[in-house]
Amino acid sequence: MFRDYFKKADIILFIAVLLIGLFGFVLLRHDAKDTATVQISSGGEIIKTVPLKTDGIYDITTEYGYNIIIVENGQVWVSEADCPGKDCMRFGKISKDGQVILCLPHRLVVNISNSAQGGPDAISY
Amino acid sequence: MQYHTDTKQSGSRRIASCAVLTALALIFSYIEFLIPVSVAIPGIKLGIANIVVVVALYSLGAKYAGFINIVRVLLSALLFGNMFSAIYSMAGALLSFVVMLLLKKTDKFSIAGVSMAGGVAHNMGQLIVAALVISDLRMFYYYPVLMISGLITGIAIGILSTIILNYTKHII
Repeated sequence: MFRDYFKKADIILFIAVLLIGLFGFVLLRHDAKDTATVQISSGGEIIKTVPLKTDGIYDITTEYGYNIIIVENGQVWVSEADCPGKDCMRFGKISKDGQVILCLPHRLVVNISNSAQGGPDAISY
Repeated sequence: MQYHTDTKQSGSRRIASCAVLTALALIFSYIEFLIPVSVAIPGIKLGIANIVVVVALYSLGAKYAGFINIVRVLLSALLFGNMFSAIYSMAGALLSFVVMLLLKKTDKFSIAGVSMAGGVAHNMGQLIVAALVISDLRMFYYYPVLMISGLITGIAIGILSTIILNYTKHII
């Protein structure tokens, strides 16, 4: 049954891709520190940086539309948005370092970062 | 298992098969548009239209499969989507197709393996274009989710395609 569908090279490729994926899960995601920040950026520019441990509601309005981002009990989520797909709201609540919420139509990226400056900023352009 | 990528078939017959498969791919795109699988995880799609592309790749050949792929993306963007979603679909579809074509040429991978690589490449292509459009590399933090999901959906699509090819090898 299994051999009807897969060859040796398939299995090697499967394991390789799986490892690269799991590597990302393990290495890019740590528990957020108390000093972790929530970075909200649009079009590659950070427009707001707020501490993860401080509750707040942020209305992010850009030329593309608005997203309402809630930070509460160390969790971040998008509660409301006027984008067509509402995918940003389906990301759910993020709470770990390296997790992201994306809203592609609004060019919006919300991410949690343990390091205030380095990390993602070093690789974003 | 070996499938004929060329002939025994007349040109007009292949063109007819190609047209039928293009229509089928369009219907699959529409079904996927109606039932979004991304309810649980954003950015995830089952990619059932890719069944048609894989089947075409192994029955009609690369030229026809590529044609079906491009026409499907353009028409479904025109009919059900918008130009914004078309950029992502096209990036995913093209990268996925190139990867599948190359892996098929090596002759070391099964249909399911080729489709699996295609699924992963599809998601990665979309992510790369998204990073370019938003000009923010931070979104690559989302790559593990897209990679693993592409792996799973690609295998499912590949197994389905193998079964379909078995049943249809005398027809198309």
